Amino acid sequence: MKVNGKRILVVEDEALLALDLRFALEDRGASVVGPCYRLSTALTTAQLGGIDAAVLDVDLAGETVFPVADLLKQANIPFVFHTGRHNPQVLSEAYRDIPICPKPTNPETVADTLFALIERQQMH
Amino acid sequence: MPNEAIAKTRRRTNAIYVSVAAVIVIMYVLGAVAVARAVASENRARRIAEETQTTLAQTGALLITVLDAETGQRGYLLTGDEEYLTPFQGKRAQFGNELADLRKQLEQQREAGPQLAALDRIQTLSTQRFDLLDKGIAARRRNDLGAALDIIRMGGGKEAMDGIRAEINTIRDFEEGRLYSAFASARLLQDKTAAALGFLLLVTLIALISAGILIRRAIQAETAAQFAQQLRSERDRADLVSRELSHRVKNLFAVIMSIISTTGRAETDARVAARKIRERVQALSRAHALSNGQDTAQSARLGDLVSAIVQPYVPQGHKVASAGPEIWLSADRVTPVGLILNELATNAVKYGAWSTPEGTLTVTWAFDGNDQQSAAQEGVAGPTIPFRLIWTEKVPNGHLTEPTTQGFGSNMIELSATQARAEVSRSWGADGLTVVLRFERDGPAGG
Repeated sequence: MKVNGKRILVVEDEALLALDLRFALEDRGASVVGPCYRLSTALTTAQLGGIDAAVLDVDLAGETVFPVADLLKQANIPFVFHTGRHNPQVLSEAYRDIPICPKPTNPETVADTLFALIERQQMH
Repeated sequence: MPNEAIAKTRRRTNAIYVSVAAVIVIMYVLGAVAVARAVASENRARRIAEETQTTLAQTGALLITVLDAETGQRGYLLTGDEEYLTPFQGKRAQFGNELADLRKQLEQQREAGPQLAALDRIQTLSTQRFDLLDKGIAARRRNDLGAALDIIRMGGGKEAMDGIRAEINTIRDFEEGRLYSAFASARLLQDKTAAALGFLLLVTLIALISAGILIRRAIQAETAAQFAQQLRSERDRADLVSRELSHRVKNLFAVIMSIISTTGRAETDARVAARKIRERVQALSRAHALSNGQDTAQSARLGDLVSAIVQPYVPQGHKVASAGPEIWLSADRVTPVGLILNELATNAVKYGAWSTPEGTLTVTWAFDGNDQQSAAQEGVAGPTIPFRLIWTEKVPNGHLTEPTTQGFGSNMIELSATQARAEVSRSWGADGLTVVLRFERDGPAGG
């Protein structure tokens, strides 16, 4: 599988959700960077680099993940939003083409969505 | 924009006030001018009336004086007594004075051309008259009574007297005409003024009534706009609350799903897995029930959370000893701390203090640092300094054994502690277990 050994950044402020995501990603042969519970640690980790893709929770204990999203977009690193927001379709015009996994979504589905994104990018 | 609508109706109301005030002021100025003109006209008529009265009296006196003079002359003609000539001479002088007075009076008047002309003629006629009277007196002095009577018979005197009477009547007619026309024009102006005042009153009334109607409408519009605005803001707030609630419910379902899948991964026995899942979801539900949704900085008290989560696990014959100051947990800490306490309590029942009859469990919490007093006070507003929770299990006979492998339960404690911005440390002794949770202080620097 092409996703083998890919390094996936997980940003999620719910510890159990992060753990669940980690299991699902690791089951598919990827390795997890993080999980990061806060915006500050997520930003630092993203800046360090060495990331192939990311799963981003939008609301992190009163802050939003968008600075990390902007950083990843600039670096052309694929990512998905994983959010419990009421109406995630209107996140922002700036992230129109970013896939959204509304909570609650199976972590397996989140992983599959992300891997599909990685594969599409590899084909181009 | 509702504020725009309210401002618009306010502007309209102000415009109505200003224009009504302007209309009333204009009406009052016009009314004052009309009244002043009517009063001036009335005064003029009164002045003319006085002048006319004086003139009429003076003309009457003039005629009487001539007749008196004539009477004196006649007395002398008949008697030849010089005594009659004294009043004659007096009246003659008086006549001259009265004529001068009348002239002065008429000259003061504004429109007296015809009267003065008549006065000139009276002067001429009276000179003729007095000349004739003088001639008669002269004839009588010569004792020529026939000549004196001839002078009377010739009729020149009577002619002059008739002329004087006619001229006096001319003056009187002019004066009366002047008086009549002055009063007539004053009355006309009064009528006009009354009509104008009535009209002004009507216009003012109409302005006031229409202003009242317009202002009423404006106020109704403003009230409606305010009501709409209030309705909108209430709907917005309700939307916000419902969005927030939906967000939380979705997150909660996500957490429950992850409890199910992570517990399922860790357990091989389906019954054990089901029980643990149920216990963890229950802990989640208790922590959730405790948290105050309104205030995210002060969501739940640590003491309340400890008793809500731990109390249901207390076995028969045991109790939980707990103590500590009031410490408020922020919303993001309530759920993970609840899950940690749940894991610790289930472990105590299964392997620890509550697995034996002699075991005791103590839970205490405190602020870090020396100044406990100020720390507790600060804690009221949300902990701005670090604090810790100490979980102590004691078994007198040393029954406890440290687990050899790290189970999923301890993994979950570690993860939840990280989420709650806390460090967890455990120490196993011969007589029991001590778990210390060190919490970072709240606030931006704590994240």
